Order: sequence, then C-alpha cells, then structure tokens
Amino acid sequence: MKRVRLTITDADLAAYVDDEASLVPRADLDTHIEDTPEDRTKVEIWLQQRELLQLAFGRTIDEPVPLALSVTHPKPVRPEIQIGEDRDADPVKCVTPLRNKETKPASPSSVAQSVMSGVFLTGLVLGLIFVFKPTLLGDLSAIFHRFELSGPTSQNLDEISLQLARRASEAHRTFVAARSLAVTGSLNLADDPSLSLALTRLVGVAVRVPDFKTEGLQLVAVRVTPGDLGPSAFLLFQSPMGEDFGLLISRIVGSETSYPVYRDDRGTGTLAWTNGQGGYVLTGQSGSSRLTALRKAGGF
Amino acid sequence: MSLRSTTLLPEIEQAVPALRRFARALIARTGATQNPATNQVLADDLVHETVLLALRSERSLDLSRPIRLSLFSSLIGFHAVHLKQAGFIQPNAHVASDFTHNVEQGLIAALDRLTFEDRVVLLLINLEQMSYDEVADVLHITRALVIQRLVRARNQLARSMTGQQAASSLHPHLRLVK
Repeated sequence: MKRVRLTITDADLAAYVDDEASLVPRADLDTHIEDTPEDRTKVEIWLQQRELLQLAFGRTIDEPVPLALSVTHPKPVRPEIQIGEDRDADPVKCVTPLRNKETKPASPSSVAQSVMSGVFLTGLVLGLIFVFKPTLLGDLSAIFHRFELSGPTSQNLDEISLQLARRASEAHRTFVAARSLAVTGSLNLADDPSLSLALTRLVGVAVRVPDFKTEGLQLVAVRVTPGDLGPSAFLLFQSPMGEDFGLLISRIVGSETSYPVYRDDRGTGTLAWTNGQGGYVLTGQSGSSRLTALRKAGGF
Repeated sequence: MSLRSTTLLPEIEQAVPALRRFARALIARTGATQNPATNQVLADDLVHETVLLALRSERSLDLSRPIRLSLFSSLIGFHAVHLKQAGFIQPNAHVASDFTHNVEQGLIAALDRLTFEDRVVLLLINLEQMSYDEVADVLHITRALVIQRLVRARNQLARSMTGQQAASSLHPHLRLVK
C-alpha cells in the first residue's frame, strides 16, 4: 500500500513536541518524523532546548522563597486600645469642657470696633518708627531676610536629602564590596544595647538600630562615614538570600521632617527622609516598594 | 485583610516560586552590566512588584481564570515597561559567541537574541510548561499567534546555538584564559 505524503508544518511539529492537539494525528506525525531526518533533527533540537532551559533555570523552584516575597508570613501586631475598656490607661485626655470651645458668632458692632482699633494701633506704631528710628525698617527687613536664609526651606531639605542619598549609595557600594573581607558572619549586633548608645554619642542624634528580623534581615556590619556635621553611621543588613541593604543615619542642619523620597543612584536604590535633626537613607539594589516596606518594618 | 485576600493568599504564595524562576529567565542577559546576583535581585523585585499589585488590586482580579495566569500577565507587563524605560526592547544583536565555554551562558546569549515577545512565549511553554491556550490567555493573543511566535523562537534559538557551536569548533585552539 502506497503511503500518502502529508504536508507537515513547523506548527504541527511544535504541537508534537508539546503534546498539544494538532490537525494531524499523532501516529501520522510519528511516521513522518521517522521518515524525515530533517524534521527529526528539528524535533530533537527543540526537545534539547527545553531540557537546557530546565537545567539552567529549573533549580530556582527549589530555592527557599525570601521572607520579603512571602505573603503569608506573620507580621508584628500592634496592641490596640479598645474604646471604653480602660480609660485611665489612655494618655490623651481632654480636660477642656466642650462648651468652652464653642465660638459665639461675632456681632457687626464688635467686628467694626476690632478693625478700627487695629488700624489705629498699626498707624501709631509706623508713625513712631518713622519719627524716631528711620533705619529700623532696613534692620527689620535684614532680620527677616536672614531668617529666610537660615531656616530650613523645602528646597534646602531636597538638597540635603539628595546629598545624603548620594553619600549613602556610595557607602553602600563601597561597604558591600568590602563586607566579604571584613565580616564573615552575623555578629548579633542588633541585640547589643550599647551599640545604639555608642552610635548616638558618635553621630549626635538618637540612633536606633532597627529590627528587620520580620523581613528576614540581619545586621552584619556597622561602619562610620564622614558627614557634614560630624560622623554618620552606616548599618549593613543582609538577607538569607544574600541581598544587602544599608541604613545611613546622619545629623543634618535644621529640624524639619520630610517625606521619604526614592532615587536610583547608579543602580543603587535609595530612600531618603529626615526626621528632626536626623537624616536617614535606606539603600539596596531594590525598587521603592521594597525599601518602603523595610522602612515601615523598621518602625521609622 | 479582607476575606477575599485570605482565600487568595495561598494561591499567590504557591505561584511565587514559579514566578521567580520565570522572572530570572526573562531578565537574564549577557554582558558586563549584568551578573547572576544582580539578576536575582532584579527578578525578585519584579516578583515583589507583581505580588504587591495583586494584593492591592485584588478586587479587580479576574477570578474566572487561575490567579497564576493573572500574576504572569502582570509580571510580563511590568518587565515590558521596565525594558521600554531602559531602552532595551530590541533584541541584543551584538551578543558575541565568546560564551561558548559555558552552556548556560551560551543559552542566555541565544535567548538575548530573541525578541521580547518570542522569548516570553518560549519561556512560558518550555520553562513553565504552560499549554498554548494558557499562554494565549496570559498574553491576550490568539493561539495561532502563540504557535507562530513559539516556532520562530525555537528556530532562532537553534540557529544561535548552532552558530555558537560552529564558531567554537572553528577555533578549537582558543581557550578562555582567566
């Protein structure tokens, strides 16, 4: 019996390799592949490709998932105060009676009186200044100008934050590269209360070593780097998977609080913010979401 | 946490190892700028982004299809955006054949020559062992287009790897000196 030669396309061969449904019956495909060396080689190569891919990347499936990617790991629970349960334990108490806070609507006559007296007093003060001390206005403007320069503006805070982020990313790259030489394992430094105390004295702001154990990170190194107003502390944390994260704590000018800002500095992610006289930067080769999660986990 | 999250969490958790594997294969590139450690971190970041989106927008998740497929769709979408931002959407045609001393590097170099679309289809089928219909669902394309991309990717991969072998056999006297 004469064999009918089928037209087999690459799509049919692909379906054969992947055990997918095809218009050509599998038995016919088997026969065709046996009879056609070219297609047989093609199928073998495609099967080899699959094996190679499994060999190269398949082992990832057996690796332990980092804690940061675990969506069901337990999170620390903050104790909540039940309303009405224990009023004495609540530190916030309102002692002012509510009726004292109620404001009475101002009558038209009292508004007019206030405006008139305000205008009179302002005129009197300005008249006295011009008569007795004409140079006082210049002095006052100079004082206001000086205040504007010395006070921490939002622009200044941005510059401080940017500078801190650059320093932190530089420290991160330097110390991560040097970590393998300096430290060979975990030092359990986070549990040492004298560390926070020593760093606080050194840096000049309250330094609290954050506990990132819920995120699976462990403190592996502490370094001191130069800063504008004195030394800064750089804490290096590591995950079981070998990811490195840094926290730079530095004393800054001013005492404003700013929101965290994420920046990518030459491949190193930085999340910088200020709180009081302290400037803080979290660093790592991660996106903003990971660093933000770390910041929250650290209680900042 | 809503009741719906608690029912979805185990499904998401189960998909994470496969997402990490796929992300690593998707991200892996050759060249001086990439190394395995960086790839691992970037891949985990990608998975983190994907899982976070799933948890935040759980109400918009399509429950008519497996969560796993939705997660893969998100991950591929995120990576496509990152590639566009970084200007790497075109295949790396300049990958040299100097990785022939290492099969894995040779494979990555060959993957690097595929277009993003072809690479995704190849990895979903060969690595994640998805069916053609599942891939079509993940990528929102037709089954026919899936097959077309798969065949193109396999043939291109075979040509690249054969080319590398030929190149290495042409210069058997050359050895990598560290």
